[in-house]
Amino acid sequence: MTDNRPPTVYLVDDDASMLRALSRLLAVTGHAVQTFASATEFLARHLPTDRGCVVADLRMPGISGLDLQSALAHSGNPLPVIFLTGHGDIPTSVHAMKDGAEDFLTKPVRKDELLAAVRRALARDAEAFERRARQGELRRRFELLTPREREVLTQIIAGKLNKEIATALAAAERTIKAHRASIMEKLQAQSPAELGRLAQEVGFVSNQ
Amino acid sequence: MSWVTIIWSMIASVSFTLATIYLLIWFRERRSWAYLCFFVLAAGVIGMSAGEFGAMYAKSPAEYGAAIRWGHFAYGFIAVGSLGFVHFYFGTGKVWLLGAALGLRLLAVVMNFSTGLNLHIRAIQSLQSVNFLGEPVSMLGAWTPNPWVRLGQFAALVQFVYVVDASLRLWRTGARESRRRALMVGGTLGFFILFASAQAGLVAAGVLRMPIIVSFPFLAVLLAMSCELSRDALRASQLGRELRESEARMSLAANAAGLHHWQWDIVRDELWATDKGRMRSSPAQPEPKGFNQFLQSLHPDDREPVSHAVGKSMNGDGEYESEYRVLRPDGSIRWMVSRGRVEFNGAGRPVLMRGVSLDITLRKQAEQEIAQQRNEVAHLARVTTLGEISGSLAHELNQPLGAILANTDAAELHLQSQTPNLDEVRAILADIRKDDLRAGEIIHGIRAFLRRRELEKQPLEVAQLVEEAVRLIGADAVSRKTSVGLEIPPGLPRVTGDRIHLQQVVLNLLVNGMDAVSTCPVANRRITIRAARPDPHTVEIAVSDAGVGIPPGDLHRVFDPFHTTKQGGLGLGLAICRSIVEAHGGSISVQNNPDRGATARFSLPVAGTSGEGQVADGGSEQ
Repeated sequence: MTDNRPPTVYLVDDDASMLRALSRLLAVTGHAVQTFASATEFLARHLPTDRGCVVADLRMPGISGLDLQSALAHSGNPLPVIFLTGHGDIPTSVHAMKDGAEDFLTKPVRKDELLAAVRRALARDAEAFERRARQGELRRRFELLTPREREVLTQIIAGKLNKEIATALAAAERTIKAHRASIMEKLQAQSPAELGRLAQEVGFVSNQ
Repeated sequence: MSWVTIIWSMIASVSFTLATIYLLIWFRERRSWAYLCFFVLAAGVIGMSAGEFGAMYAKSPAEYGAAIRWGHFAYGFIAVGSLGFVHFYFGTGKVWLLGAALGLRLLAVVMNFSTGLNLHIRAIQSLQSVNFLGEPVSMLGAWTPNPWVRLGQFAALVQFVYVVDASLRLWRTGARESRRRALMVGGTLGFFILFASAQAGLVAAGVLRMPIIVSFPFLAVLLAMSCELSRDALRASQLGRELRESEARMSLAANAAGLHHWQWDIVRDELWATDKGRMRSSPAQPEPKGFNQFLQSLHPDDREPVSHAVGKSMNGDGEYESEYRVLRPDGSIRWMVSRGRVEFNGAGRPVLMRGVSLDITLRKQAEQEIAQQRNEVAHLARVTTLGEISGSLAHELNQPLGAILANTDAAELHLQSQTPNLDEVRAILADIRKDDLRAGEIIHGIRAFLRRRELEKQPLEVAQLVEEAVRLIGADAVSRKTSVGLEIPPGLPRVTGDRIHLQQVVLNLLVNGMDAVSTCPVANRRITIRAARPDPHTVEIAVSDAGVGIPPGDLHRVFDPFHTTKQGGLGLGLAICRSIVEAHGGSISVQNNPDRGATARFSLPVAGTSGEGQVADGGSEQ
């Protein structure tokens, strides 16, 4: 599944003037921007296919910035969040960072800092998206395996030779070889080592 | 020297002494006619005793008759004097009876001179000698009585009736002093009138073989009257002493209190003030002042109000009251409060005004000091409050500042391109200006809030006042996840007050409310501000929270200074609020809500009703 939408910076701030200014700045530097006056508005329009990052004010009436981050983290699409705040608050910033905030900046924010943070966030999002896409693909491939093939895969990962696997599973070696080939083809792996890596990546757990 | 000589001389001299004394007294106090009557009575007794003496040593019937005749003439004086005394001294006798008695006596005196030898005796044939007090004195031997004596006796009877009637009336008034007088004077007089008449009559009728001794009894009457009069004199002197003492005490107290009496003779326009400094503004001035002079000695701003107050009392119910400043010649100012009363004559015109004035300079100074200190404390509290919400204020300022910076960066980048979007740049500049002004407003508000100031009362819109306070606290409320709701009906009248001080009150109550709900779950963190008009002259503002409420035992203490349940709190907030509200003529109270939380409400007078803006020297905003 691919997405052709460009990565977007989602701005969330209850101060209209701030929202306009940030939007202008990001737009003139070539970013796609969407603005929201409250976290509630944003969450209502947030889609799993959204790409990009969020720049949010920390203190907002109703759902605060931290709540927003928490909600995003629990959604299927955890976009990176950059916090802006006019009110320096150390415990909150530590809390925010521990929860995985991308960055924490104070208003008035310097152009370079903001753009650098946005760039990092977008990169991380792209990377995460790619990883998720790949994982999804992998999972799909693993679904194609038959139960017997899964058993064989487990043995291969354990480093067993065909002969040993045949003995262990009470099957002919020839059959085992055929299974191995099928597995390699389905999973599009080049070597047993790669098989092992892929299995680990997808979190394959043996049925035994 | 014979006893007769001694006794009768004594009677005459005692009477003379008393007569002189009381005549002199009467000269001093001509309105007391009783003294004059006493004098007349005493003169009569002298005359009487001379007559009796003359009779006792008469050598011939003609001498005897003449002596008695003149004696009776003297009795006329006795009658006039004694009855007059009763009339003036008792004040209770029937005037017609008096008139009748005196008239009859006068008639008797006339008869005394025009019939026979005297009123008692028509003719004397012979005298005889009788031993009286160890001495031979003349007495009637053989004589013809005068029938006109009945007139005299009848006159005496009427005198008696008058005296008894007056005495009884006096007795019935019940006062102890009056009863004593009635008994003493009335008793002796009444008795001796009868006695005199009887004795003279009996001697003249030949039943009693002794000289007429009427003067002696009347001396007794004199003495009884003198006794009463001297009692009065003693009493008067005692009262005088008490009065002087009382005056001395009052003068001492008045001086200690800075109080002095004054009196204004409206007709003659003479104003006197009594205290050790005779005149209020210049101790060396012995002349009374006129009213205008007095006005000139006052502070120019106070002349009109005082004049108005005086006029009002003179045209109205006579009660006068005013407060004013007096300018001393040395340039100092004293505050005075004055109360007085106007006295009107029979025609209803004001003739006199009397009153007291009190120097309240110290009190005024103390009041001013208190007001000053209150302002200092209020200022301190504002600084503290602002410190508490400074984080939120920083946030408030950082919003426009942040927007300005981002806008500036964006504009710069726009202008770096080949074809800059100038419309966008213009929009950016407009936003920058707006944000700059917004920041300026916030700072301006903070500065105004922090400045020391006295109360500058102006008409204020309630809605605006509350909204401004809520704005100041807005960011703080957001960070504490507390919602603030306003329920202010439209059309509320304006109130008179100092904007900053009242903002302080609302702010303080809001902060308290937020503290009260800080331990509640977010859904319950609600504060509501309501305004209402409970009566035509008052606007009430109430700040309610849905918090923990106030322990009932603490409710009466919340306004006490230094009472606080907050960690590190000073506990001055509500005390200052009350001080400010009361300085505006309102009142403040706190109650627990029936469901949950508490409500603090305070009232303010509607603009245009009570004490309007007295503008102190608070200075301009810039």
